[in-house]
Amino acid sequence: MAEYSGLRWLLRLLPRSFREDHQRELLRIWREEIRDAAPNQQRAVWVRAFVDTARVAPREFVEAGIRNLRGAARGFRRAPAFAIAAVLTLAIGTGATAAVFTLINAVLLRPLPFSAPERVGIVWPISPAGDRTWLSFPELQDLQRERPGIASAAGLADLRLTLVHDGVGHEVQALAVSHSCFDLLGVAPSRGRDFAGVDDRPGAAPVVVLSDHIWRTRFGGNPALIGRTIRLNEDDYEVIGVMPASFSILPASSVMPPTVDVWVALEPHLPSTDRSVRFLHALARLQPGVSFVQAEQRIRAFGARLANQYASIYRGGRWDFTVVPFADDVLKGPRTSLYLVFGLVLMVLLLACANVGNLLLARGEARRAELSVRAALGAGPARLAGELFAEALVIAAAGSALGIALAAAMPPLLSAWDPAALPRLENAGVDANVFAFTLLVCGACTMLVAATPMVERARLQLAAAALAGRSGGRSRRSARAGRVLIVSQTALATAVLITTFFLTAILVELHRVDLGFETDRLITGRIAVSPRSPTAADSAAFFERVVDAVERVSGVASAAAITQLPLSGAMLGSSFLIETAPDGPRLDADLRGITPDYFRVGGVRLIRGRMFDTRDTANGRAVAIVDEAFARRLHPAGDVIGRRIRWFRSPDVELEIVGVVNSVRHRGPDAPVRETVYRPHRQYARPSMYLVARTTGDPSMVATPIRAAVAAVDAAQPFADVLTMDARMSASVRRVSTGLLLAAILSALALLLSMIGLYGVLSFAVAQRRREFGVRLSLGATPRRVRSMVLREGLGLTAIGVATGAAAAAVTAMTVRSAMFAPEVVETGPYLYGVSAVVVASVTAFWLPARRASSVDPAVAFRADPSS
Amino acid sequence: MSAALEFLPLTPTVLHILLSLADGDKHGYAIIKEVRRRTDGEVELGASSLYAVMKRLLADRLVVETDDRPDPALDDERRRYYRLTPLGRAAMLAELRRLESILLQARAKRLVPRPR
Repeated sequence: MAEYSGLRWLLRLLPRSFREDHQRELLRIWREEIRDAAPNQQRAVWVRAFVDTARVAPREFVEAGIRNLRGAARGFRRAPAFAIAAVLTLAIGTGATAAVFTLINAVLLRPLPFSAPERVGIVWPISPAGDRTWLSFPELQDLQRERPGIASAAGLADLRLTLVHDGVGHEVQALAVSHSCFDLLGVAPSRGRDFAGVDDRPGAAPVVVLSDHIWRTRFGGNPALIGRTIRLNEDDYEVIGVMPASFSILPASSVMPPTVDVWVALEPHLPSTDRSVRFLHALARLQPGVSFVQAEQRIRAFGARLANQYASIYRGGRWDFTVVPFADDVLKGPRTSLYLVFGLVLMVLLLACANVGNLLLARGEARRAELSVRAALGAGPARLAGELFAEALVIAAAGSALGIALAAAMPPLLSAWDPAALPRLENAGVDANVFAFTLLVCGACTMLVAATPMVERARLQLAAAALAGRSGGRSRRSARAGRVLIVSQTALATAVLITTFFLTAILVELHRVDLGFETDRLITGRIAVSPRSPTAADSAAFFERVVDAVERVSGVASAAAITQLPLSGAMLGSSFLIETAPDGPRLDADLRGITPDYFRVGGVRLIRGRMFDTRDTANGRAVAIVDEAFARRLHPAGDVIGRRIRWFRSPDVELEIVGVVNSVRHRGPDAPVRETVYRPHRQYARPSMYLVARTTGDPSMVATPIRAAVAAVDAAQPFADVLTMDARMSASVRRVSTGLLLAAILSALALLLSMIGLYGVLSFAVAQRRREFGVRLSLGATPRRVRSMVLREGLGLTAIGVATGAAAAAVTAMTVRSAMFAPEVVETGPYLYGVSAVVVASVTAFWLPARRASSVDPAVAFRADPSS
Repeated sequence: MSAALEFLPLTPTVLHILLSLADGDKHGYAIIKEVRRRTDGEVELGASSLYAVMKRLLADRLVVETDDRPDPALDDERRRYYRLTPLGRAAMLAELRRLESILLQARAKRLVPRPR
């Protein structure tokens, strides 16, 4: 009868414990009702039964759930240590995962603070050497006029200005921007107005837009400031607007400095309108319907046309133009580290879940006696299993809740350790994304821990065994579960550890890269000369006075100055003509002005020729010192003393090369070397220079006396960006070191969790096999043999796990290498350390259980229920 | 007696079940059929509802499962039989008295005609 066939299905609407108690009766009654009904009424009987059951089911489920939860709570009260251990383990796993996701959310997922950021890109010229470089002003104008694939383009130039407020000079970070810049980004000042075309002309009345930050901190958030003037670089700038707070903090990138204090119009601040003077970045918004690929093709064609038209400028090889998404530029670095750490943290989560699942199973087994008693008193296996499930659920819920709390604490801790550890860190917090993700993770953990079929079946089996009063040994299924757990735990721990050691090796290598100068005991800072200094000679003299004053400070061994310091950030490229022909080949090189002692103070080696000295005055012969990279471009052996080069800006002046020094990695250990030309500061005076002082002791201790010495020379000129060279070095490898710190924490957790897990699994397995060990010992096996048998079995599984983990780590290493700069690292080290650590941990974890196995009293083993 | 009062008011389903058991032990289907017959089909007790309520009655000790079989001829060994406990009987009677009292008050107000 068709109606009968649905009856068993009806039962499934009810909780298992209810079914256990009443299944037989229900089926019987339903069948009899159907049988007793008239043929045309039988379907109605079925429907009535369905409605009745559906009505009863919800309450029964709730009651069963409450009953199980109460049972679980009772169980926890009896074994608080187990409950705490399980909750903490899971909390660590979910907390770490949610915390890393919080970082990913803040840094990578939250949209940038302007409109349609995915349609904004950066246009880069690419020099023949393959480096991205800046644009010149004429190139920007061409871009704005032709608009290849783009709707609009705006130029940005990094500037530092001196703000005089209350009589004291402060350096502020400025960006000079095209007047269309804010419009391109789709933002506008929250007060006042945007730049207009009239503001963006050479000689226009100076105007400035303030950031919200500086408006509040320096000017007290005074709304009446709009329309008034402030003093920047000894000029009066009219304040025309204030940007919104959300916009002020754009993430730092190769284009944006970390914070921008003020914006000024571009054209009044151009250092040059020459096509070969490169100092601009260009933002571009794509035309509607044009993809980045298409825009790039058009910009490339645009570049080819320019190179053709101005062949004398675009010399030395093939020049190219490209456009890349702005977000990529900003987030490229942190993206790799964060996703790598995320992968690691997921492994730790899996470890945690495996551990907790194992703990629960073991506890179930340990409670066999208690469960047997309850079974004898009438509790069915489904009811017992339901209680075990409730325990798992409570642990998963508590662990996850604690995990969210940990996640909320992570960003402030990371900020406290290093505020610049990641860009946009100040955004990080628990928002809707993070909450949703954490719920997902909690749900997944709960499923893994409490409800996987393997676990489920084991639970039911256990309950059934308890019901039957069986006190047998290990089931095959639980033995397999144990083996899988050992292999997976060691695999995960191995992968995490090897990856951490790999990252460590990269970091060590980065620190070991020869920068070309000595970073220890070096303190640095930037000084600007007053903009009103009439002549270059005055400017040079000012810096000499500063250097002299600083050298007299106690604790300073020697001091010098350089226009752009290594590891300091933005730098200006330049173009050099070689030899005497005005149309001769050009080399792109960095140009630096230095005081004569700079190389000595910085620890840069002279390879040929001489250093600058007192001969090299403003009126003396024009000279230059080049680095090895530049020298080799001129001559294969680098023998270029006496050769003449010209700087494009003053092509009538021949510079004679008088010395060659070793190359310096200006942009940090992970950037390629760039050719550099040095000129004496008296022949190449700039408005600002970096002071470099070698100290006898801890360089950070002399910062204040040095600052005082500089102020004694001219109090109105700020001494800014004061950092030891070691601090700059750390900052330049920050990307790797942040990832490494997180990975190291995760490794420690992973190792700890896996040790706990391995110990637990093997203890459990040994307890299950007590009878077997008892038999072996009574048949003549020595304790030592039993011990080594257990160890061998455990370590055999560990070996499989380690091999799997090492393979996974190899894949990770390849990904890391291709995605971030990774110097050539000797590969075997990380694998060796990682594998060794896991093997040692395994042996340690296995030792106690192995000893216990070997010390089983055969008589006791035979007699007792081995489930204790 | 006061223990029985704690269970008041009884739900209609509970009362019908207790009434069914008042004149002897029964198994589940017998209770369902008796209630149907007694109420002329107005009250249809579903099997799931019956056992859901029975679970609570057993827990409250108003009803017990019994191994005694009233009549071998009517017996089916595989069925479970239920018996009204003294506490259950007391509760049932207390509920009936409560209902009767309400009915008397309604009659006093001429809301319900007296039986002829």
